[in-house]
Amino acid sequence: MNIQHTYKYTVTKLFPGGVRPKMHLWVVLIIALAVNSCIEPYFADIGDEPELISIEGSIIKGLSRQEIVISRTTSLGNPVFEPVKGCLVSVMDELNNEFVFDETYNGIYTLEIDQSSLVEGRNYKMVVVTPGGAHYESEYEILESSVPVDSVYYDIEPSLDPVNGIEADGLQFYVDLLAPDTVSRYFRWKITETYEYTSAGPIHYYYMDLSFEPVVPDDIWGLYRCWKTDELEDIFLTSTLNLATNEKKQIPLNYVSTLNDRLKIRYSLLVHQYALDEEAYNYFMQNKIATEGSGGLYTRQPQQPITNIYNVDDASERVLGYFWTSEMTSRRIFVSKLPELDVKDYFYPLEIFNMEDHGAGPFPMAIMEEDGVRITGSPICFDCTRRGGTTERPDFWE
Amino acid sequence: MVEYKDGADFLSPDPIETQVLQGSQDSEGVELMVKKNNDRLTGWVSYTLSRSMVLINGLYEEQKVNGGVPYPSNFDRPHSFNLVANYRISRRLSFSSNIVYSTGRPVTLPVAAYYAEGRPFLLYSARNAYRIPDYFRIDLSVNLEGNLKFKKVAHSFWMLNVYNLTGRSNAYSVFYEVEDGAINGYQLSVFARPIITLSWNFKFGNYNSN
Repeated sequence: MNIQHTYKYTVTKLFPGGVRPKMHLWVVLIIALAVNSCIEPYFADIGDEPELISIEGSIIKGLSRQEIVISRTTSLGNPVFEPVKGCLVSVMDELNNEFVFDETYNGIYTLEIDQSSLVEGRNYKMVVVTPGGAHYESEYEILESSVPVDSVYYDIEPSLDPVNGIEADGLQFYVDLLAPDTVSRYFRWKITETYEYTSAGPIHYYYMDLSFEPVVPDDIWGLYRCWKTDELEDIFLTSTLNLATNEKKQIPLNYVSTLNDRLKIRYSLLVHQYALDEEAYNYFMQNKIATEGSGGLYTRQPQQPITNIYNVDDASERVLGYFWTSEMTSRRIFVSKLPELDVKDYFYPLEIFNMEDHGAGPFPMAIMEEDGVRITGSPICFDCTRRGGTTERPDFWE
Repeated sequence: MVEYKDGADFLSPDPIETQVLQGSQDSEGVELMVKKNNDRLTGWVSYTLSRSMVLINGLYEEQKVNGGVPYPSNFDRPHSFNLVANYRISRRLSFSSNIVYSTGRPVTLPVAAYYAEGRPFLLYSARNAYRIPDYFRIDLSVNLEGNLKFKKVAHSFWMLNVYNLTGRSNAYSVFYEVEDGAINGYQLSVFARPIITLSWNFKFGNYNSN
């Protein structure tokens, strides 16, 4: 069926009754062109793109290494992290003790501060001088004392996976807050998760080249078991301002689904708790709203970021970022494999070795033998570090 | 009047009162119009100069919009110009044209990107600090009346219209999409091309019948 025949057949079916295809084609084309709505690229006339400085800093009692990150804004077409290097960065307390930071990496300034110098109730401020001579300071922030993490626990709860629409069980973690009224009413938690996982199996031997001579590794289980640690990006906040007491139960933290293998062997959650002042809480709440809202760019009214940093020589300059202080307390929990949870295995694309498919490599080729059958696959199947973990067991692992 | 507060959640299940703030709106302006009713050339031209500013202020930051500084309302349209002109060449043939111009409506735009806690954020302009492109449109039509016989059952006329003669892509909305990590702006135009229509009309009676 050639194109001309198909066209006549299609148009005749669309417009039955012996109408000439050519006339209707013109009519359809004219109408389509006439009412055609149009989407074109739009470039806002915003003049010179603003190059604002963003300074994020904190002084955390309970943390040995303090960090301050300095960067600049970038264009929408290329939203990358643009560090500001070569700044003079320091933190001063109300007694004029100065702690000078070193630039350890592009835009990242760090310092190990003795914990005895970080006093609860004392005020601290940050001072930054850029290579261009701009002088920025933060307001004085009081180092809020925190309280021990009361308890961290979990419940088995179902959840609908947003990607594939599958409902499965998982663990919802919670934290309880128990604090006296003399402590701040605003709290934040940061979560670091560590989980143990394995590769598909041991590497019984390698094929290093086309000779297909087996080469046995020193430890066939050497790349089998790994531990992966991730700091979660989610922002967990709560306020007890409207409550009679400074207590709150069952504050939701992260959710771990059984649709991945993090709960397969052993899982650990390290919860860091921080006490904030009201403005720091509002700053992190803004960030939470901006990054964790659903629906993309159009479900929330844009907002102007809060800051407590200003240009000493030009108070009208807009500065981004925040300097905050707190005491940090922590608690870690472990979760072993739960029999009532059906945790999905990680999919490893294994293949039965045959010369037709694997005769040309690639090399080195890892081989696992099972009941006399040679099994191979891509490197991720047998090298657990390919998934981002390490074979070194963490010191804290129980 | 009420306005959405900074960070308001449009899809929030919470009561709307938790997402809006109350304030005041001041509007002022002047309208001018000249009309010509006689001779071959008739029509009118009007121009409106107006401002509509909103002020949402309060004791605390969360009670303010735009830092408590007045900003253009969503309906602020400083300049609005309209011209309607009809030219009668003969009793049977006439032209008419329509010119519309107005300032684009205010909009809050993302202007840059920055990083905080290792994550990218969008930096937005002040509330309604920018405007979508101005609206401008020219329409033209030619009217050809039927014969001028006094006694006739029905009188007909042809009308050839061109809507949006210049084919200007007037922005209906401006939006942004995240594509491959970049934030790209787009404008949607509903009628982005001249629309030509030819119509035949009739009425009972003759040329002069209403």
